[in-house]
Amino acid sequence: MERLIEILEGIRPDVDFTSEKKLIDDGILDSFDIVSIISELNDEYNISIRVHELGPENFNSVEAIMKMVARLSPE
Amino acid sequence: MEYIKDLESLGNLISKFFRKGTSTNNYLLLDAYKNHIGQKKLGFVANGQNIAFLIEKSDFLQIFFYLNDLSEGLVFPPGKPLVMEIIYRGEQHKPTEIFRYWETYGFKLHLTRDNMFATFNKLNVQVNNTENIILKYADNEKEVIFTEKLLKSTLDKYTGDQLAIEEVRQFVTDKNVLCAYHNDEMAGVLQFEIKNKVVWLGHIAVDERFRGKGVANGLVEKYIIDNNFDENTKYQLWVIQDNLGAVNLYRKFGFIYGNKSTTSMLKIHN
Repeated sequence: MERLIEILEGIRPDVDFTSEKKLIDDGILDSFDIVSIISELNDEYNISIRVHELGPENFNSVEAIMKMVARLSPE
Repeated sequence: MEYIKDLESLGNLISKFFRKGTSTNNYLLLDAYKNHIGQKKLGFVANGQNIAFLIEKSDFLQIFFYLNDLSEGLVFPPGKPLVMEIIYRGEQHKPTEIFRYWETYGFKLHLTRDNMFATFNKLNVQVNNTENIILKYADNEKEVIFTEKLLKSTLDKYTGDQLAIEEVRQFVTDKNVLCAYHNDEMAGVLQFEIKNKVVWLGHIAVDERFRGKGVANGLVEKYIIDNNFDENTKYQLWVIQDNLGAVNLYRKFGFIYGNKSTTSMLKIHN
């Protein structure tokens, strides 16, 4: 989780990712941020985030992002 | 150009071309993909290591690319002008190499827009009752037509995100269009939209006969005040970097640069 927060803060240093739970719903992250996050996650965790994962529910909080990463990570 | 039939085939293509180090201007998310695929308006061209997705607009094709090899070109369908927006995080991340790549294939740099934002508690709003200017929400067909015409004549044809009359009508119905009258003549309009709790200033235009009379100032002021839900209400907009009058107006209100810019590139005769 710490590494994930580090990655997210690298993209948006102005956001407190530990406390925000509605990153998309509250307009904190936009589509450009999400695409930047996807690119970093794909590289860092060796996953491939598919198009059908690109909904707000997977990016609203660090926990949601972590869950998605865990789901997509190789066993 | 081949058309994308479903999300599965789109996902397979993106997986194949989106790798570590890929340059892309694609910021589309699930809802946008579904919409474009549903309308049969999303196609692609690919060559070797590079791919470009194309969205059919009424007057042009909009390009979203994934580039892995800058020595390879892409062949686009002839006819419609080609338009792309390349977004980046501030001047220090300006993708000049990508600009050069597209210039090699006949694209020209067009407009650069900067993202500006503010929260209500950081804005300087002083209600100035400007003489001769009346501000109101558009609520009739005459104002719908005026708004559509003024936006069409003022905004950039390719990157101004122009609104069709039906879209203007919907924004008017939703009370998202402000109109300014100067001495009883329609002088300017501002369209806004609340998305994910951000109050976006979508479009603003002032008839050239009424510029320099405080019309834009009045419209922006009302847009801010009327949408102030609490101290932390977020406001955002995109402004053409070279439009110093507009940039200074927003700065005066307290908007600051959001560390995001987008540069458009065009190839008119394809």
